[in-house]
Amino acid sequence: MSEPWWISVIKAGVIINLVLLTFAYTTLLERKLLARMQLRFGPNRAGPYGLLQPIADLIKLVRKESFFPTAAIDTPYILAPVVSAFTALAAFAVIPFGNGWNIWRYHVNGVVANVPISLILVFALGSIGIYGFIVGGWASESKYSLLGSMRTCAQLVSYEVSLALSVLGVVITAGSLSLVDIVHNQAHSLWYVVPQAVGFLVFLISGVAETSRAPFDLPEAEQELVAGYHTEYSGMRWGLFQMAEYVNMITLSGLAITLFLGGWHFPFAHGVDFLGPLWFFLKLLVLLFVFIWLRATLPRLRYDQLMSFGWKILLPVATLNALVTALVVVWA
Amino acid sequence: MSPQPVDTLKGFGVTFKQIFKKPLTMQYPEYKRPVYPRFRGRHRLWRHQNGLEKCVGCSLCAAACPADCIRVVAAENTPENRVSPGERYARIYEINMSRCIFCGYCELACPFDAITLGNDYELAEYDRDDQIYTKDMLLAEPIKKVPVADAELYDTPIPYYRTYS
Amino acid sequence: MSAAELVTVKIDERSVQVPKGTGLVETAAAAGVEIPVFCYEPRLGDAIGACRMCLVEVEGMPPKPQAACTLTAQDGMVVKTARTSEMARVGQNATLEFILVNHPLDCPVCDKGGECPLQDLTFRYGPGTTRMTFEKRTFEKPIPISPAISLDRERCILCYRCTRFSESVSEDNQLVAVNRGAQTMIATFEDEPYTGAFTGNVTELCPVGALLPTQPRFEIRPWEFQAVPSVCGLCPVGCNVDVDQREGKVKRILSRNHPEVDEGWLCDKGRFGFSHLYAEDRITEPLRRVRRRGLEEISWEDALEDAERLLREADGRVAVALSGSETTEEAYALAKLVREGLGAHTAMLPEEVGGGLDAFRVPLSAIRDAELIVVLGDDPVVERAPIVDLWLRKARRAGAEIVEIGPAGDVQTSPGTTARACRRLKTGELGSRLRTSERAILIWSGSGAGGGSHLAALAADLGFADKPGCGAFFLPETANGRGVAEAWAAASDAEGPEPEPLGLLIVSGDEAAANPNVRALAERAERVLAITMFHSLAAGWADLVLPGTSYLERDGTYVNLEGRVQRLRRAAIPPAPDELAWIAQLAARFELELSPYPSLVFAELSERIFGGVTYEDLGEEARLPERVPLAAPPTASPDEPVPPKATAGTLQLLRYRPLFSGAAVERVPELQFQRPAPEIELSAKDARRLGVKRGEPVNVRSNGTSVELRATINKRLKGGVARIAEDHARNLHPTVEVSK
Repeated sequence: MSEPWWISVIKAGVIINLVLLTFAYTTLLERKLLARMQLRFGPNRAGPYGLLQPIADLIKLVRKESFFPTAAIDTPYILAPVVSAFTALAAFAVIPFGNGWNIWRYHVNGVVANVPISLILVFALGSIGIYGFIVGGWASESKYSLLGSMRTCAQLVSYEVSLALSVLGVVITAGSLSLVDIVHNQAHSLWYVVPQAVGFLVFLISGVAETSRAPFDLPEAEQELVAGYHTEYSGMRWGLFQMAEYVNMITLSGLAITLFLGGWHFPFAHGVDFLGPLWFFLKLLVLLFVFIWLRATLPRLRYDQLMSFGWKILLPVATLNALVTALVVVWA
Repeated sequence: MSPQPVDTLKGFGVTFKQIFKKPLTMQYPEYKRPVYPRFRGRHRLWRHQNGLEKCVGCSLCAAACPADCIRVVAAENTPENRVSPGERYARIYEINMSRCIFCGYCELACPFDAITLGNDYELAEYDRDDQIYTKDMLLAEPIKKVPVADAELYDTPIPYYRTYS
Repeated sequence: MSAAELVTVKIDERSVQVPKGTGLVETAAAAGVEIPVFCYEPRLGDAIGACRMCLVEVEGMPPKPQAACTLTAQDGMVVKTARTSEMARVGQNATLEFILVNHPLDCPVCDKGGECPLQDLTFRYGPGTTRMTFEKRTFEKPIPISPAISLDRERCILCYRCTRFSESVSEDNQLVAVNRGAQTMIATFEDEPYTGAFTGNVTELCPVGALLPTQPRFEIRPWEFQAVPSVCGLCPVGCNVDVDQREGKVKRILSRNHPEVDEGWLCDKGRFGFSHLYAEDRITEPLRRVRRRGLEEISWEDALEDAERLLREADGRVAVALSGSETTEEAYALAKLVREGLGAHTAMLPEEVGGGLDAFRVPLSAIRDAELIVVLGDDPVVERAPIVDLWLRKARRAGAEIVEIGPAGDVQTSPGTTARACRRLKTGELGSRLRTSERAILIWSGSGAGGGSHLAALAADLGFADKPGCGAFFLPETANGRGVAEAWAAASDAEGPEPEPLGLLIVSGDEAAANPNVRALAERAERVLAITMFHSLAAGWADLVLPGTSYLERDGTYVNLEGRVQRLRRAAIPPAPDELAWIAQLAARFELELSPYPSLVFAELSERIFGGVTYEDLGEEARLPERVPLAAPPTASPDEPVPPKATAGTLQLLRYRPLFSGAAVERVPELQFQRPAPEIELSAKDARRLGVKRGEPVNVRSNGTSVELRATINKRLKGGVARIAEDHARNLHPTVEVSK
């Protein structure tokens, strides 16, 4: 069941646009939800209920002066946000959002690229994305940026280990590295969130840390680092960094849904699976809500607390989870 | 500090409940909160009841101003052109609103109650040059007025300069 | 004076040693203790103790507060001021309360506010409230006692500083206190305007806002202007001034008090003459003469092009008419451009100046300490260098003998014979007294001095070179004539022939533009380039006019009549660039290296003529350089031709340039009342002969011109001589006929 290359291209285009649209309105969702949790309205001036706020922000960023510090090193400085944004978007290529449809005489897959090792691909792309942050901060040739990027790098790298280990349980249970297969397998059994609850928790926590969201948002701690690695960026270059962060968040939520929450399946009933993208989207919204809820409630972790938590608690738990799963699978 | 999982989860509950409460934001500009009667806003130059300006151009306000934003050039009153009671008046009186910190020292320094800080705070302009307020602008009634809270309610005495000529 | 004998005085528990006879106020200042004063001013003579502000308690004297200003330091004195003595504190507090009883509540509208000693002392020593519940005494106010000074009688605290100045410094006795008691007020006789050369000083003396200058009325608050230390450039004395400028414009001029040059006094011309900077006919853009259209304004690029063209076309036949009021740096720059760049070496100065008297150099304050002073010359000292007149009066009050030799002096001579009188002084009774005196001063106040060479010859003959207390002064006409002449000489050593026919005449400065000799030369020149400030002076006959700047708008140095190099500072923003700036640009077109910065030009110049002194060395209070040792007996330059004596029926005309004349004064409205009235001074003998009484109009005729003037009688004037101010004499010949 292969599809013509041009359908893949169209699909890729559609997916990218949808992801970017989601990103734009995630910013609005975050602002309004955060505001409501803090007993205030969010943006409600640009358009009815602030619905045109992301458009206004976009126009503002595009019109803003993207200053170029004279001390900055040209090529890495310009390419850094591009790398981060690119990898964030590219990771979405392997996340399945539907079963596949037959439209006219063509078959459309439910995923942009069906790669047997898609899980590893996602993690690989995530690692490359970290390069964007590090290089961006370092190429800015400013002490705040350098310190910010060093901290970011350390944080992201540390929590990436736990992230990878936490999905080991799922891989062992599903027996495959392909995301499509993992989703398929969840149709027949309980969603993996039930047997792999610990793994899910570790994945979620590491995910929050991976995307530099509260309470792990030290790279953006304004009081300490001015603005971390994106101090010397403004205008659309900074917009690209923000996009990378939010799209990372969306990708990670997508990954969590795929690995633990049954992907595009509707719980218990299977008849409505042709509406896969819709259920995927709704689950995505729930997870985004959780992300925002975390941000509104929890204070920021201190750097040493963050590192000790990642290495001393999260990593052993993830390892243990993988070990126990392996033992259970082997003996059962 | 030991971890408090139950309390943390209770915190989540608090933030969740807040979503459904009514926000406390007052929507400006539909609703402008009334300012206190002694609020220090845009300056005003006053006249006596017979039309003469109170300001004699003594420049004490310029001396007192910590931000150095008042420019006073005085001139002599002539019989044909009598602007203030007494010998001199302020020919040029300019306040640079972008430098003013609205501290009220000029009001304290003025021996004639000629300059006081009124209640208007809507002073945004598109051009920095428009921020230099000249004497006519300061003498005139403000164009954009803001609501002021009831003086009785706040037990604010009516200032002397408003009661005598 | 004998060597100072030190005495120990105890003030407020502090011991201090001062020379015996020092006033108690200065003694306290030496100990770091302030004794507040109002009427005490040592420059006005003896202390009178009128204001009772300086009350202190002195042990051993009668048990009541004493006026410290009237006491002098004695050995073993114990003085307690308001800081430690309750009696003194209460006394000073009460004094201020009494002063304020009738003082009007004028502080916001009074110009003195902010720099008022009454405000400051009341804050420090006075009462915080008033007990005066009655009506204060009022006067009509303000009264202009002259167009330049306004008097507010209500504010006067009767310290009598102004009357004492009028009585014992300028000695004109115009300001007096009339009435008595609480109604005492300051007035002039029959409310005539307070006229004189030094009237402005009372505005600086007055401790309250009673006497204030009218020029900066209501525009000066001390927190709004900056004081720029500079030097006055209107006469060769070079009094040190503080120029108060606000927003780039000069508002007021105050004295900076150089104790050796001016002792804190300023003449009215220097004090009030600055408003010529803002005259209506001030040139701000270069002007070029266009045939049939007159003058048109051009840009500076075009002007410099034109100037270069004029300079090249003249082909070395260039002459420069200097006015003597350029700064030394400017004159040097111009000289370098013309002499090195064009090879032309002819320059005109209004009079000869030189360093002939450097061997007899003394500061002006030496006049005060002299015992015998001889003033030679046709012109009154007050019209040439007014502050010297104040020094002479001070010397006379201290007991010196002053002998004036001139047409209106103690020894009467004919006009133009001063050189002869100078030679006669070598012998004779006066000469022998000069020879034996240790503190004698010679002053030449007139024309024909030959750069002071006659005086130098006399002084060398009298042996002044070996006596540090003896000196000689020559009062030039121009403010910086010496500096300009030396700068011109320093620019090059080459000599050149007189340019014939004259290709280009460069007229530098307003004084040169107003000089009729320069005007006559300009008629003969093919082209004229004028550097002047005012339209009406050179605009009629110049081909290219470049705007000039005034002494208040330039950085540079002036050399005064003592030979002291003093620094000018730019106080106001000129409407046109400084001369050095465009001379440097012009010089670049002739491949000359000339810096547009006065300090660098001065550094270059100082090597050659000032002995390597730097701008920093000059400082704020310039020092007088040491005397130059007398190498060879100086030779006097040849005498100027003596004007013909009057024949029967005619009178010899003596012209003099009054102090209040010149392009600057003409443009100051407040000084117009000081300009000389159209009068002719006759001697008593001639007035009797002609049957003319004081005030009668007479007709003064000479070949071709005649003019109507009012007659006044000067009893000291020599018979056969009539004196008329330069403004009114105009084209009259040296001998005139006077008839009713």
